[in-house]
Amino acid sequence: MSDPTGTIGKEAERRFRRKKHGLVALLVAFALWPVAHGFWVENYLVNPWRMFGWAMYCVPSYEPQIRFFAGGDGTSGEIQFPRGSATARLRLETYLRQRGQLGDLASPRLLAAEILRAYPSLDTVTIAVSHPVYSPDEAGFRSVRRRYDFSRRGAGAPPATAPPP
Amino acid sequence: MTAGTSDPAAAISGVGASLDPDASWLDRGLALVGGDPQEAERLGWLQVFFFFHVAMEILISAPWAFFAAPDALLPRGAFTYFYLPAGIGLSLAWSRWGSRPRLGRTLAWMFSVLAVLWLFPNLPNHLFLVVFCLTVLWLVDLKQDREAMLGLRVLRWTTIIVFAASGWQKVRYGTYFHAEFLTWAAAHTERFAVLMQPWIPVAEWRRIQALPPMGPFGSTWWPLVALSNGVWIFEVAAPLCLLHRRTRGPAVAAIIAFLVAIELGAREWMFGCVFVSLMLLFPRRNILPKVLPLFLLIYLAIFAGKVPAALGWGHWGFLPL
Repeated sequence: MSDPTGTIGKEAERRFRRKKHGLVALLVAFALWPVAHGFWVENYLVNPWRMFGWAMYCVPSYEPQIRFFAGGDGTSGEIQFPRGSATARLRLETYLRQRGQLGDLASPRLLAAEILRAYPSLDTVTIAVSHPVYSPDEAGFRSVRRRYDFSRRGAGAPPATAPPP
Repeated sequence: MTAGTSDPAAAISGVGASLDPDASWLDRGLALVGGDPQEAERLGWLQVFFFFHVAMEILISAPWAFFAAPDALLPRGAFTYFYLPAGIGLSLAWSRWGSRPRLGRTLAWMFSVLAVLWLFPNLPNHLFLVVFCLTVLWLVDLKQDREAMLGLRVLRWTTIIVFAASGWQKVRYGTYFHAEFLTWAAAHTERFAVLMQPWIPVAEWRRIQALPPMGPFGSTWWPLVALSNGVWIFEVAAPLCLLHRRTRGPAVAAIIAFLVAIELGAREWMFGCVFVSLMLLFPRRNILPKVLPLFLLIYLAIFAGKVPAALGWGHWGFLPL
């Protein structure tokens, strides 16, 4: 097939150039992601080992601890998470795994719903999560705590309130 | 194909793009990692290996223990762990023997992206790296020399970025200057303890083992501090050697040796295979097809070490996991 005006060649050239620019943009985003990753780690307790920040083997690995309290003020006594049903157990396991990776980005809303379903007399529940976070200044872990208060309002899962700093 | 040409198409496909004063900064930047059309031929092998990796990764992540317990309630979507690898396999078979190879590879790539979305957030970093590379390979036409070479260069840069970033992250978190991470790993992980105990003096080893669980960690024993600092310095410096033609070969050998040493402790064999395969994009000689059977054996060992144990059939593995 002849192409006396060179239109096909020019179009192929344009397409190639677009592809090249697209791939370089992808590469630049890929290179910048570790910087953004650091922001998520610092501000939202995202696990440095996860989310493709290439910070594996940079800090000791940790697992967050979770506790449940009756009452919105978090002082009315510790309660056990209802492990009676397979769904509830799976929810707890899934949450702990997600929490260990996504930090504050993983909300315990579904766990609160499970607790309020299992304890009909409760109006509010507090979920306390403790993250061991590595501190380079102390060359060891320090504990960062997050508190989530949920109340029984409306149908379905209770809305989450913002965790206190 | 000569150095000094002003044709942009030749610049990207020419070995001398970095020397060409008329080539754009983009072409010159891409050409820093070298590469010619002949070297780009190995990308087809890499693509097949990476599709195989995704299929194996998701198959190994399947909730095998639930299948072994007849009274257990299967988690929602349990069979997705089988549909996705099957989809990848069938799509690849179609791309090989069917009438529309490009469509087959597109489908295999889509199944791989679905695998990442399905496993998120419980996915290892190297799966993301593999799917990123598969995306690059899907975007270029490997049958065209200059596109294949563009793909090769982008993947070489990807490899450099990952290796250098892991070094810079160690600097950022500051846990290698006084061997903080290594002392924690020796005290709390069996894999590192086995590797480090033989050469650390008894007194220092006892001190490390007695470190409180929350720290502070670290050591003043200079060989350990030197090794710890050597790790991040190597990870930051070695990728720079990949940018120069003369130092590229030794740098590839050194990085592969370093990875093998790391894997003896970390035992993340899949990551090791993925990264070594990416490193093998650099040498002029294509040895990737020759090492793929070894990788296949390693994946088989990982599967045998994890799946029969989860099914309650005992441990069949022959690789420490």
